[in-house]
Amino acid sequence: MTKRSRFSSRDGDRNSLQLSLHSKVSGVEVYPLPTQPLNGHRLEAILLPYLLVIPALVFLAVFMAYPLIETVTKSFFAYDITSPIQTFIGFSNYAELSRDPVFHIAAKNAVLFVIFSVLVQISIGTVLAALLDRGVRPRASLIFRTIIFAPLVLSIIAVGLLWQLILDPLVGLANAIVKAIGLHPPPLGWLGDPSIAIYVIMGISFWQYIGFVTLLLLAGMQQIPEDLYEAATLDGAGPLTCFCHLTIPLLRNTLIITTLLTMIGALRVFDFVYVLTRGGPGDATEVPAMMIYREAFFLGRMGYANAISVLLLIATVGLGFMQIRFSRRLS
Amino acid sequence: MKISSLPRLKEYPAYLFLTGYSVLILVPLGWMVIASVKPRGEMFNTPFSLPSTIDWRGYQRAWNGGLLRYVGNSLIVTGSSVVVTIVVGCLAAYALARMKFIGRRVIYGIVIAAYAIPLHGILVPLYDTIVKLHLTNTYFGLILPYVTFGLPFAITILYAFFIDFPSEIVEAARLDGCTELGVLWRIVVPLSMSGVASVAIFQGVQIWNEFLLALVVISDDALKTVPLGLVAFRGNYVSDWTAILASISVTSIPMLILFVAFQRQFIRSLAGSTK
Repeated sequence: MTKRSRFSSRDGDRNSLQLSLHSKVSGVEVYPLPTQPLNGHRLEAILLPYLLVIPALVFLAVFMAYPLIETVTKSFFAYDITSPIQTFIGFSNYAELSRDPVFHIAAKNAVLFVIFSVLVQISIGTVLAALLDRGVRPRASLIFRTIIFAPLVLSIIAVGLLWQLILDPLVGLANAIVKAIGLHPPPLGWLGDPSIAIYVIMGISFWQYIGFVTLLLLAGMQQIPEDLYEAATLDGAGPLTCFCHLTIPLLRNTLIITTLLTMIGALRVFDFVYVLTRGGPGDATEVPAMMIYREAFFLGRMGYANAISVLLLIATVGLGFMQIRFSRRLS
Repeated sequence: MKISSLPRLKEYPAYLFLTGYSVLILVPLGWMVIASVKPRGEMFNTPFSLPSTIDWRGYQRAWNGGLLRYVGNSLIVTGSSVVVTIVVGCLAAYALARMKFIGRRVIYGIVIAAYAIPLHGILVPLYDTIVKLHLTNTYFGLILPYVTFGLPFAITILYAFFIDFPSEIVEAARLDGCTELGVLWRIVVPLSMSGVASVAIFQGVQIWNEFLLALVVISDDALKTVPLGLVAFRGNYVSDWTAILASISVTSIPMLILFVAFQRQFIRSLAGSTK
């Protein structure tokens, strides 16, 4: 039944196209031919919306919902993808996580990444966006914008490899600059010193993503009506007063959404760590996603990797729902 | 030059700050290009100087390392993923935005919720699913998950366009005998092109640069995408800095050119991620 109605709808579609084109082009009135009985039409009208959403739902079910359920349930098992044996072990994976010193480092690094990403990216991003919005002439703003947003189109891998070479003790630009201004570069290398490596990775991620924060905030600022600024200026408010008492309060929701997106991005960090340090030196730059990857695909501990995934999901999905709620309020 | 076209004194701090930040962005990119054409010895001895002669051999070595194949794979995977995402996304968004049916709100809720699920969080069972479907080391092993993770964004953006679409135009087309699908593909989608472009650009950039899933699904060198290829390249040419920089430049510069050419669309597209 579905098959037939789909077929006939396609035929009808073709007819109607010719008809509508014809009637538009020549101006001759042509009436659509009655292609099928009325009840066929009604059944089709009832089924059609479901037929339209089914492809999307199939994708989401197979490649998102099913793996999501598996992640949660299989976090209570010990298993390896190469063997069919799966042993139920209750909360043992989670208990092990709470004792695992590497996971403690990964969790601490994730928290540091979130805190510094928000502080640095949001503050610099806000200043850049405000200057691009009202601080400089439109043409200059366009040029600066192009430069500031440019790193967003590059792959993290390309940016990571580039910075790896820039920071290389032998050939890199960084040591040359540091020496040229009379300072000493870190003796173990920028990425080889366990006490600074994670901050260097953060810095590189900021280099690429401050532009994203700036872009979101600038888009928000441009929604603020110009006459509000004019009124404030007439009342004697300077640019700084305008920024603090007009831009920031009106930007509140955009700021919250941008902060949440930044936090989610920081929790998910993987590519930078993979390409720059693989979690080293030692475990100094370990992050949750890196741990999931290694536990599952190198150590064959799928269940343990799933337990880390569940914790990562709880954090990111929680923040994600908050973001969706604020976004809805915005629109 | 007229005086008025120069910045006034109190504007200088703004220009200074933006210029300083721009230098921070431009220096690494400039160094990438310059160092990739420097003769090998000069990188160590004179790190700040311009190259004495332009040496393209790094690019030659990068090219011989299979760069074209990586770019081709990325084009296939990104292109097909974007097209399928848009087709499937348009169908669902149109039904959700303009048709009344039981379960509509629930399905829209599912789509919105799916927006919050990160690929990283379900990586292991997702890989498991791809293995069970025998899709490892195939283009489909990447395309199908990429479409899935692109759909929530695509549907929410297209939904916003379709729900505001003027009903009079749709009614007129129906009176002309257009079926619902005809209305969608011949009237609504062509007139919502800026929404479609937003989805295409956003998804295109994301997929072109995606690394983690590609890393676990693709191990066959013949199927590697650009980010995987760059990492493989780094492993094969350990100390051939010029070739590595050449491979980064040659894959990055086209993206930068595309960005400059389509900046407006690109900005609108990325700003859509707060929706």
